[in-house]
Amino acid sequence: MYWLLLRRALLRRKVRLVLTELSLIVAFFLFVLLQGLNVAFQHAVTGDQENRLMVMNRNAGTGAGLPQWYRDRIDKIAGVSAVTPVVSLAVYYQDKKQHVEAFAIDPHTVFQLYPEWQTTLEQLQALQQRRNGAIVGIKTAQKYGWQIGQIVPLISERWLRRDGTATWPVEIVGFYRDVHTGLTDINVLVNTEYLQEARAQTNPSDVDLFIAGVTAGDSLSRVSAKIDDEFANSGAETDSETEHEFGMTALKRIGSLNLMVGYIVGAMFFALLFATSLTVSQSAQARTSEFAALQAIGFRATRVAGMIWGEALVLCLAGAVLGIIVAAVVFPRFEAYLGVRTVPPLVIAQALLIAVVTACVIVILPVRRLFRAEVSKSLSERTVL
Amino acid sequence: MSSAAPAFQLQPEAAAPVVDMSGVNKEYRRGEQTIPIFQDLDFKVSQGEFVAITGPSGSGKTTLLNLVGALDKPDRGSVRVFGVDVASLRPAQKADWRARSVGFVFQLYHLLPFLTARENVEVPLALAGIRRRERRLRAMTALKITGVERICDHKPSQISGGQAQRVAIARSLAADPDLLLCDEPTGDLDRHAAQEILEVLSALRANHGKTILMVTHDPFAAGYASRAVRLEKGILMTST
Repeated sequence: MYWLLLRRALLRRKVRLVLTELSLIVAFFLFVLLQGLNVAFQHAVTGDQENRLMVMNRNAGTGAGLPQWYRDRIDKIAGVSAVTPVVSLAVYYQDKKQHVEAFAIDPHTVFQLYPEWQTTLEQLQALQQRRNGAIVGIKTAQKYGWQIGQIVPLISERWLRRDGTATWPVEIVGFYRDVHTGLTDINVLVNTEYLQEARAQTNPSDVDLFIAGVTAGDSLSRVSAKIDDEFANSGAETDSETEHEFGMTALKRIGSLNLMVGYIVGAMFFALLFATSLTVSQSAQARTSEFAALQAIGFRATRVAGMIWGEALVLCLAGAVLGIIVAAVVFPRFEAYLGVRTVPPLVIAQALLIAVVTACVIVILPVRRLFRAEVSKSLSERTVL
Repeated sequence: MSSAAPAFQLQPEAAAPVVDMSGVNKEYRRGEQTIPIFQDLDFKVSQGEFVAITGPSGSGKTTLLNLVGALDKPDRGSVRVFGVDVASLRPAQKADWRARSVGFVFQLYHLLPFLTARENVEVPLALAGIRRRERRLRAMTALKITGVERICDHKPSQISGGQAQRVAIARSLAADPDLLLCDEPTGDLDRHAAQEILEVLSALRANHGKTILMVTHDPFAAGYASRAVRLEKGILMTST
């Protein structure tokens, strides 16, 4: 009976119900999506290996890179096992919307540095031997249906070739799979010599960063300090970070963005909650005499308050559940970047908790009014049908 | 064997009144002003009576009914209903007591607009924890007693005022209380519909032994009562 009362009371104004529900669905969808991505990204960062150093220009934030010749000096530092330069190609495939994560690397060292990237010896040798060769992460290869031997024209928005074109044809010579986290098999790895020799820009020696492997048993912080000391007071001082620190720095940058997005979503949430609260409050006010009649026939005020809260709870939980479902449908699109296909359970729990708390908050005013009202006076008001 | 009569015969004890108001004082405050409603009011209603309380607007008719129904409480004096000092009950106890002991019939019916007639009658039964099948049966019986079982699946907006009031009476009967408190039950109805409602109330008293306390400003309605009481400025003027 109580469920019938609750259901009928909710459905009495269908248009208002639908609009309120839609607002809640949008709010919870955005919350679950953003919070889900945030949690998944943090999870991805914590999966980083602790035996690699990312060596960047101290002013990398301004876009400054490092000279190519730093490589040999880093390589000679005690504790460094291998080094590869990394240059982002900033390319897309066929359509600008089809951005591809392509990097010029040293094919002789990159797979030593990333043992979790697994390929065949034959394909690795092909990369080392073929100047325009490329080994592709399995997810990207599957996404575009690329085959070995296929020439793929990648269009760079960063590097022009000496002939003035921006198209960099690469030959697919192999695939690799990330067997550790499954997050990084989206890259296209191109032979660095191909880029160095063919690019037209005036300062071709610059690389974005170096990745240096640290010998097992050596201290990451010691090797990191040594590298930075090596280039202290030079024209391009370095800042070496572990891969985890590098990820956390990126996370902090994204975190600032997240904070901003969080404020925006928070403001929207507040506005929506305000609107929902107003809806529930107005609905309850219009039913003052109805509630009084229920009390007159023997309902305790607490029970009537429970019914008001029940309506609000169903309203909010329905919005949360539908918002979560919509977000769950969208979430797999980010799998390639975050390695997570489903909304983290923690985020689902948070959304449901928010729904419950919201229901509690938005009934405060109507319930307060209910307890303050005199039943005998409220009975004289006409019910709004 | 001696057939001598006993030395004395026990007189049947007078039944305790259903409603016993004694030395009741009640006043309302409007801003700085104090408006006295009752001063040392005494009033009793016996089991099976159909009492009409008449009087002009503002005389305290509805206040008296609210005091009996524990919707309001006196400033001084006692209001005992079925021997219970209702004024001394806590709010939750009052609600429980109302659910068990009294049925309310309001001028504006106060049916839940989103429920059918039968579902409206079932509400107090659900409150009493009665199971669904039994609830339906009792609701239909109550609707039959008030003559509106045919519109049991109609919502309040689909029925006339007279029918809505019959449904409201059925709701008040559902939990089988001994006392019905009716506040202007015919106030919103035409003469014909009012007559039908009054006949239903009379039948409830005659056939089911219900005690009825009805507030009305209409002498015609008061004519159906077994006793009419006139209130003027909070004072019981006549009792017939």
